Amino acid sequence: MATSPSRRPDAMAANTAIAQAAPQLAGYAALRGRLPGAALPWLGAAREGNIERFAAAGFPSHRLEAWKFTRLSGLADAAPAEGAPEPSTLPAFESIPTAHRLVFVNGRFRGDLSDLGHLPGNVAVIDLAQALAGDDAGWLEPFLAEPFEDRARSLAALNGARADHGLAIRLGAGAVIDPVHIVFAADASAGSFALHPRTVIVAEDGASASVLISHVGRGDGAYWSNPVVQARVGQHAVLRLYKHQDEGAVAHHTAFTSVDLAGHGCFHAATLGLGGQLARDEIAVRLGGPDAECRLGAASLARGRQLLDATWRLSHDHRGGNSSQLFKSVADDMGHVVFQGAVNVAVDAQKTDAQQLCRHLLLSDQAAADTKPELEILADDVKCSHGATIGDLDPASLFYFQARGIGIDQARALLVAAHLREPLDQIEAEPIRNFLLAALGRALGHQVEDASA
Amino acid sequence: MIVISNLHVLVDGKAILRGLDLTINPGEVHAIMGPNGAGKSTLSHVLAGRDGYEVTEGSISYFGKDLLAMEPEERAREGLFLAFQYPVEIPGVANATFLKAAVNAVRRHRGMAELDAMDFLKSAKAKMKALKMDQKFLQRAVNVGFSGGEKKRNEIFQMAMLEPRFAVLDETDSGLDIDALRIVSDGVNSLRGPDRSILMITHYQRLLDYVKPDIVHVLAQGRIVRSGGPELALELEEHGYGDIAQPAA
Repeated sequence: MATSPSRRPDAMAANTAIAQAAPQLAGYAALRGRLPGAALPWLGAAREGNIERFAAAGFPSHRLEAWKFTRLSGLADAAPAEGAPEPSTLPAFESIPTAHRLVFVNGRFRGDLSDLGHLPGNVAVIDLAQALAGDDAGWLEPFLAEPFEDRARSLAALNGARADHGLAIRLGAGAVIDPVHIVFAADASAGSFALHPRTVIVAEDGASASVLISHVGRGDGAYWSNPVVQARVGQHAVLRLYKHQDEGAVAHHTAFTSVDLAGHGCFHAATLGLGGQLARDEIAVRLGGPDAECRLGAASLARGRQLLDATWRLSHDHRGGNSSQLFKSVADDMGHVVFQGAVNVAVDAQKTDAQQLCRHLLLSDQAAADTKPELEILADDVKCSHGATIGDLDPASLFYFQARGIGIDQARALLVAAHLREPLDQIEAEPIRNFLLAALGRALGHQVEDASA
Repeated sequence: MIVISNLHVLVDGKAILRGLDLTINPGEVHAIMGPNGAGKSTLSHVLAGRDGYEVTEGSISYFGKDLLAMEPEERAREGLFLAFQYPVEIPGVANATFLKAAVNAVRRHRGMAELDAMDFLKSAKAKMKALKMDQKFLQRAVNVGFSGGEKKRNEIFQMAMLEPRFAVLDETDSGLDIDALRIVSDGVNSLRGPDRSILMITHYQRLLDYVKPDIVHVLAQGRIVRSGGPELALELEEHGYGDIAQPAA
């Protein structure tokens, strides 16, 4: 039986993908000449390469294993392609008073809101456009020219083409900076627009940095934030990278973070996920030298109709690596939480120790949680474990509160906060820990005290 | 005054309490002893209002109010305190946070001003000292990583902070070594007073060496089968529950 080729499902999907990508390609074409570093030939070529990769792949489909639980069709059908307009009002955001602060509002670096203070020696914290305008932009090439080949990371490729703001942090050997607070704020009352921030962090051998990145949106506009962070951590260097995701209520947030660790390098990360109607936070870490350490933590709170997705991939490529993953979530109302945690242990990565724990709390009948641990272990002398639970609050714990006179609502609130705070309690940088605990408290409508005080 | 009349309770459809009567006057210390399975813990849970216990008959009058009609937190605010046989571990909630929430819930209910952090700490530290508890316990998560004795001491500490009118101690002596038993008993004794009633539920007599009850009851097969003075506990210690625990014909 003859059927028109255009009616076959594959062809229809391809047509849809082309239609979805078209506005993004047009958006890029309109901006191309005005993007930062447009005069740099290597950057121009890299942008062209990445827009082609995005054009070929389109928005990731849930038929891709990496997007199995998270459907992007709502974004893909109507994704804004325009850059952000000037904000009509300055969105309110909190910041850490003692931090070196860099603020971007609607994709524009705001020197008037930033306060880098006195930077320690051998440390550069610099707005991306400025960095690319300088004479020594070449060190950024390995990052900004990275080709995002994986079809499941086509949105990172789009950022690779479109990135129009962001920053670079560079720590020379042995340099120390603590803490840095980067704020990407959006005034969404201006309507729908796309933000493609790019952050590059390099910690040379023996350096140490604590960095908090806030994504904050205010207003009802359906903007789209598509950040990419790339970090390289040298030998015996430590990068602590924390994230405060508090995008606007109807915003989309699709983040990709990739980290490469040298031998004895150390990467600690924790994310507090609160905002957005859909937020995907993908982190890929390569333990690219012996005895490297990676600790990932996240607390996600999904309410209303929010979907919050954390997708982590750790690659133990060398011996003696140590990694832990702790994911905690609460889904209430019709909230939906996704956790995908993959660990790959290469054949040479003997003596790897990799632990993963995922705990979801479901507080309503219509809330949902998906969890997918993925362990691929090719070495034979390793210690790898994973655990996952999905459940409601423990009735015995609730009764213990009640038996002491504490009402059921307060008991639930305290237990929810207790559940979510664990990954945040592990944050070593005290001002960042307190900042995120306070943000969690505001989200839950009560104070979350610093237990270590 | 607490008056339990003809209390019948089902657990999973099985009759555990079968017509229990008990009256406790203000200032009195009562002990309920009984063999395993007599219904001792069921009584403590029903008093505190735990789910899963079906009262099919009888009543509990608590200073003139219908206790069974009250939510567990209301009972606590009205001054009922249950020292748990197995205190619950609450990871992520500091003892201080938990107890301050409890103290202030009770104070609000009584029309008293809430304690601020300073006043709370001052009061808590004084009471911990009396119970020979390390002040670090305030910052530790509730009962997490506590030894059996530390958990029981923590229960008595909570009781001291909440100043109940009616305290029910459920097997508070179980799992305690002799030193811990003495400290816990001293804590209980210091809380005796003309306005406070205490009900101790225990399998063994040894707690009663340290906390002298006014009245001892024997609970067997869901009813009080005998009541008497402290000498009844000694009699039980000597002869066991065998004869006494048979309900009178």
